[in-house]
Amino acid sequence: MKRTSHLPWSLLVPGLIAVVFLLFPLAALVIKAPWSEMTAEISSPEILNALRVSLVTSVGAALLATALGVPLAYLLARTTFPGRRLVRGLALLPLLLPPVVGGLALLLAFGRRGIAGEWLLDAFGLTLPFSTAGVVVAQTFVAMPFLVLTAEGALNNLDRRYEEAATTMGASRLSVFGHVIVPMILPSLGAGMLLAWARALGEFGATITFAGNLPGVTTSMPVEVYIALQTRPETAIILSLILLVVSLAILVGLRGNWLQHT
Amino acid sequence: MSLSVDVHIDLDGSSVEARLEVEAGEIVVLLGPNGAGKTTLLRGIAGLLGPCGEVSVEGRAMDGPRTFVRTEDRRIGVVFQDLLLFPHMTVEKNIVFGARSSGATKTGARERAANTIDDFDLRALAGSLPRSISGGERQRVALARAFAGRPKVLLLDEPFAALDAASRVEIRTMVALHLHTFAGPTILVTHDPLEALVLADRVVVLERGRIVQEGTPDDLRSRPRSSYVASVVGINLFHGVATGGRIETGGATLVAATEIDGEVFAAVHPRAVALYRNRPEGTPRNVWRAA
Repeated sequence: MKRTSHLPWSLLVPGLIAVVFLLFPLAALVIKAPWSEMTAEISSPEILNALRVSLVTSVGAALLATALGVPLAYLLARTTFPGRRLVRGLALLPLLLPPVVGGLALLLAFGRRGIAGEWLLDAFGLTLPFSTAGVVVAQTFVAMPFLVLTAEGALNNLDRRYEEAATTMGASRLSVFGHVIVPMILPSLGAGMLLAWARALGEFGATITFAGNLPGVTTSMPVEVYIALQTRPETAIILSLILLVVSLAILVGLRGNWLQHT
Repeated sequence: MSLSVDVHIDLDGSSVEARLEVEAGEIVVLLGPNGAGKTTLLRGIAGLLGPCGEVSVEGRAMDGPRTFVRTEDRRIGVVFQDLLLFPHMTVEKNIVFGARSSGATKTGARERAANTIDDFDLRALAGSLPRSISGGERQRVALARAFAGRPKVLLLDEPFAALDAASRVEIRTMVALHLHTFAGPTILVTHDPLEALVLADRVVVLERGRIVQEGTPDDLRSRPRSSYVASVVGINLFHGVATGGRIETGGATLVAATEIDGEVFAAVHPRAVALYRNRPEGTPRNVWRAA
C-alpha cells in the first residue's frame, strides 16, 4: 500500500508568508532605488563621508573587539575564577540590551561628566563622546559579544591535548596561546571578526546616543540613513542598498564556515 | 640521573598508586591491560594532573610536599598516543617549536632542529604538513620533536598503537634505536606484551591502578605473578593451595616438582604440555584426560 504524505497547508502557508515577509521589503528597497541618479548620488559628500566614517570605525571596532574579546574568551574557556559564569553572562549582555541603553550607559561612564570621562579629560585631555573614537567605542560595546561567543566556542571545541603537548615541551602559556591556540582557531576567529564587523557596521542606537551626528566625524552610514530619510530619501536608499549588499556578501562568506559549525 | 616516582592519583572514582624508579639510560616498559591507569600515571609524572605525590628528576623534586613544578618547567618530554603534531605547522616547524620551547634561542633552536631532522632522517619531509605524511613518518616526527626539546626524561604513551601491523615492526626498530641513544630515563607505555618484551630493560606491570610485578622480561616469562602477566607472556597460570607439592586449583589437582605448602601460583608453559592417544607412562607428573 502506498501512502503519499502531503505537506500540511497549515505549515506550508505560514512558511511561505515568512519568506515573502523577509524578501518583499528588501525587494522594495531595490525597486525604489534611484537607479538613474545612482552615479551622481553615490559620489555626494554625504554618502562619501558616511562611507569613510563607517569603514574606519567598523574596522577599528572589529579589531578592538578582537584584541579584547579573544583574551576574555581564553579566560572564560581555560581558567576557573570566582564569578566566571557571571562574567560570561555580562560579556554577552550587549546582544540583548537595547543599543540605545548601551549608548546611554557609555555616556554616563565615559561622557564629559561621566564617571571615568571626567578623569579621562583631566588626565589626558581625552573626550570620547561626539568623536570618531567614541563611535568605535560604541560599536565595540555592541560587537564584542560576537567575538567572545565564537572564540569561546572554538576554544571549547579545540582538543586541549595539543596545548598539553606544547606544555610538555616547555612552552609558556603565552607561547601556547600564540603558537598553538590562535592558529588552530583561526577559521572561527575570522568568522567571529566578520560577524563583529557586520554588527559594528550596522550599529545605530548606541552610536547616535554616545557619539551623536557630526557629519564626517561621527555620522556613520546607519546614522546618515536615519538623518537623510527626512530630507534626501535617495541618499538613505543608496546607503541602505550598500549595507544590504555588504550583509549579503558576509552571509555568503560565512556560509562555508561559521553557519555549518553551529 | 634518574627518575623517582611515588604517586597516588584519584581520577573519576578509580585510583592509581605507584612507586617506581627509573635509572638514567634505562627503558622501563609500563605494561598493563586497557584501563589499568598507565596513561594516567604518565600524565601524573608529566605534571598534567596537578600535585599527585612525589616525583623527582635527578634528585630534584618536581612534585612533593610544598613543591610543584609546572609541566612547562619539568623538562619531561612526552610522546602522546595520537602524537598531537601541530596540524598547522610543517614537520620542520613542529621540531623547531620543540627546540624553541625548551629555552633555546631562535638560531639555536633552528640549528638544533636541523640536527634532529638529520638524525631522524626527516630532511625530505621537512616542508610537509603532518596530514600529508604516513603514520610511520608522523611517529618519527613526534619522537624527533620530543628529542629536540632535550628532555631529561622521556615518556611515550602507546607509541605504536596508531600504526598498522606492517609498519609496526619497522617503526619499533627505529624507535628502539633512538631510545638507546637517549641518556635519561625512559618510560614507555603499552598493552602489547611483545613490545614490552622486545623494548624493555625492565617491565613494570600495572593492573587496576597498582603495580603487580616488575622485573626483566625473563623474570616475567619464568615467574609471572598474575594471570594477566601469565596470559600475555603466553603461560597458563593457576591459582591454588599447595600441601606437600600437591596443588588444589579448584578444578584440578597439579603436582609440583618441589615440595611446597600454602597459597601458590602454578605456571604451566605451553611448551610443557603434550598430547597422547593413550594414557602415558613415566615422565609426566600431571595427567589430565581431554574432554
